[in-house]
Amino acid sequence: MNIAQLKENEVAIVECFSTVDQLIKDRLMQLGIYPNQEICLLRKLPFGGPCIIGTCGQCICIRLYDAKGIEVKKK
Amino acid sequence: MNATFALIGNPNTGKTSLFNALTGSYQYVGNWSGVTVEKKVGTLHHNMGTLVDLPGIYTMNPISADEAVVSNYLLEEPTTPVLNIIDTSQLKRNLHVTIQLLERNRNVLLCLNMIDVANERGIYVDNNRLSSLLNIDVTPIIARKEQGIDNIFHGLNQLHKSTTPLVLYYGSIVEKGITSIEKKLSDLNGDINTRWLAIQYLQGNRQIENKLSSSNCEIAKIRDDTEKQLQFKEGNITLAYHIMNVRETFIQSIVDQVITIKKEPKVFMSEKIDQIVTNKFLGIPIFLFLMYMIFMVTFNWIGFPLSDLLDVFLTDMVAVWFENVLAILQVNPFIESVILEGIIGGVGGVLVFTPQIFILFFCLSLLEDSGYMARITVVMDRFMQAMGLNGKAFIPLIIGFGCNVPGIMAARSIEQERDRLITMVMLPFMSCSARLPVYALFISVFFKENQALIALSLYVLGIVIALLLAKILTSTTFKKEKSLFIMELPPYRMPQWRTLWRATWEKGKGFIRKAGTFIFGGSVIIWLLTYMGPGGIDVPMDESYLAQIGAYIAPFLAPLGFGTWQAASSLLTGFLAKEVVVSTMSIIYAAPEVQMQGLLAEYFSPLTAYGFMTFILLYVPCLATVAVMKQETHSIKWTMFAILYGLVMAYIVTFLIIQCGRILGIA
Amino acid sequence: MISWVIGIVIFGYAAWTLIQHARKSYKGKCAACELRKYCEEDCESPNNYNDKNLLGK
Repeated sequence: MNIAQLKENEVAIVECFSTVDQLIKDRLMQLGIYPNQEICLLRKLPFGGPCIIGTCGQCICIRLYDAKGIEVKKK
Repeated sequence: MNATFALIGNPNTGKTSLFNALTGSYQYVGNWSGVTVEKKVGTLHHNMGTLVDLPGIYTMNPISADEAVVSNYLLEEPTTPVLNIIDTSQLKRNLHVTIQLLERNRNVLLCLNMIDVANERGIYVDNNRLSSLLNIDVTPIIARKEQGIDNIFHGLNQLHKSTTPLVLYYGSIVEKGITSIEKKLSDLNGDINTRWLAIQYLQGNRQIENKLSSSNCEIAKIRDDTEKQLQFKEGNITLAYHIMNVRETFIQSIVDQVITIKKEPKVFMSEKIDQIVTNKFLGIPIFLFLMYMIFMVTFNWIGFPLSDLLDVFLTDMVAVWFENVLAILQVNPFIESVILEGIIGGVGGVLVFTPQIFILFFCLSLLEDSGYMARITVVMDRFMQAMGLNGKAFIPLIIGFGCNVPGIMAARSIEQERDRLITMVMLPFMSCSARLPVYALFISVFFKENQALIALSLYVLGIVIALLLAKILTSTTFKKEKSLFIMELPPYRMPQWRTLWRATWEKGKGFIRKAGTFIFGGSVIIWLLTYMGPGGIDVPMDESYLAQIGAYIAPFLAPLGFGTWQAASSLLTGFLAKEVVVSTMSIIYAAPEVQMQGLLAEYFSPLTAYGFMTFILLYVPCLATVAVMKQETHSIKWTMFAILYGLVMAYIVTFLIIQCGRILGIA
Repeated sequence: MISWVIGIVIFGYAAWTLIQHARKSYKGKCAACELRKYCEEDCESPNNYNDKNLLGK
């Protein structure tokens, strides 16, 4: 499953980035989101809007399309 | 002492706050990633030398334009000691930059900033342990409250000049690659650490690649070989990921030794506020409501009453005082006229609107310092996506309400060149504070009832025209590329009065300074043009040079409803700077008997006044904006495009407003 | 006499401010920066817009 399929406030472990754009992938790595990291989906905005995800006490906002590209495993 | 120190760290860790505390200068601070987009230099207290404030980076490898500034600096200045500031509550992520700095050399002082925030979250760091593990000095500070600043000066004095860098072992394959590249670089002169260069190159640092372009072919081959061997052994991973992973493992081992977590994380205040302001349904309404409140405060509630008081003070006290003094000095009528009509009329006419400008800057500073700015990008991203842009573009656009020039600079933090370019071209339509006096003047004459609403409608019109441009560009020229969006949401901070006041004052000060310099100069020249004409000096204003110049353009403006030489010449002077429009009007429409307001009502109707304001909003960016746009886009073509699009849109939109208004029977 | 002095001061200052303004705006932000030595390079963004990589990556 991917991040977009999580429910709000659900915690999961990142498995891999499948279809994420290279630039977003680089930025996510810099921000500390890479395989085997624990993340939490904090909020999904309506009408296909962006997702806010939390990790290690920080909040990061990405688009739904990219969230769909990040494969995760439920904890 | 002539030492130079560089200030480096992650985005939004308080670099600029620390810079201000250490140098006593004032630089712009805000609460989102990417406030500093260029280098800034200040003189350190205690005669310690100079400090260079650099944009924030997550790693040495630049993604956006502002980040490239840091890599470049480290390349050009291989021996400059570094003051590395880190956010203690995000130690792990921040240490990636520290490690890369230490791989370069150990001439680094580490500042643990925001220890109060970290402690609140139950995170405690053992400074001494960290210091001995990394073999550098570590100082805990709270930059925002200026605590621990003296220790930094002490630390900078103690900075040992030994340059034995940190050496991490990246595994036999990568190490072989590093050694081969180092050999190729051995003839590279200067003090630069070749191992650091080689690692950065292997990691894919674009800035380093450009630097090493002379021997590019050979070392590019080494990189490819290394990556292939690595993938053969380790499976499908990239070289960059492997290098990062080695650092990550090292950092984790450090973090495990120095951090104690004393309480379980709970729901933080930031999270609670976010649940409301980025709420599914309330997010956009809250944003619009806040913007409306800003306009009510700026125009209706506080701005105009203060502005009226200032007007009374200037006309009844200052002007009268000057008149008396000039009468005592017995100066000739020419000088009397230039002072009373040119300077007091022109400069005073603009200065009257100082309250509105200060209030607007205060509100913008509040948005910037609290951390709400980053949330705006999130809330508006879906909408911006439909326009083919990303939510991050909103930050430069909102800064552009203050002044377009810093707005264009702020676009540097947008990662994609495509989005950055479009944002810069959109910026001139953001109604900057220099246009505000024009609105304030007309609104006070024609729209006394709905001041804030009329002003807001103009700002919204600017945004709509800008978005239209974005939509056109993203569905034609830039159709192939899609926009991307990723944004870090910083925790909210209680805005500090001192920071807010300084931010407001520093920006507002610029306005007053302009009034004393080129608005003064402009007013004198414009007055001179109204005083002289082909018929000699002291001619009636309708026969002056200014009237003649305006008369050439006026026919083109006739379809817009304000085809008078007065309106035409006011618009002409606006290219120099938008503030000068009001100065010009104050001089032209000044009559000894009636107030300017009364005279304006003779030349404009509410409809043409609105049309005139629309034209001012859209027509051309000021000289400073054009120059900075040309510099940041590196393209005369795009700069010309922005100017022409503005002129054409201004003409079309104003024409439509006037004609529709007439059809609807509004005078 | 006093008129002459005031007149020269006013028009001299006005001319000076306008020249300054035009020069500063035309140069843009970087030229006014204290660190021009490095700035000339830094002001260039890593991806120049005239580069081909803008459209096809």
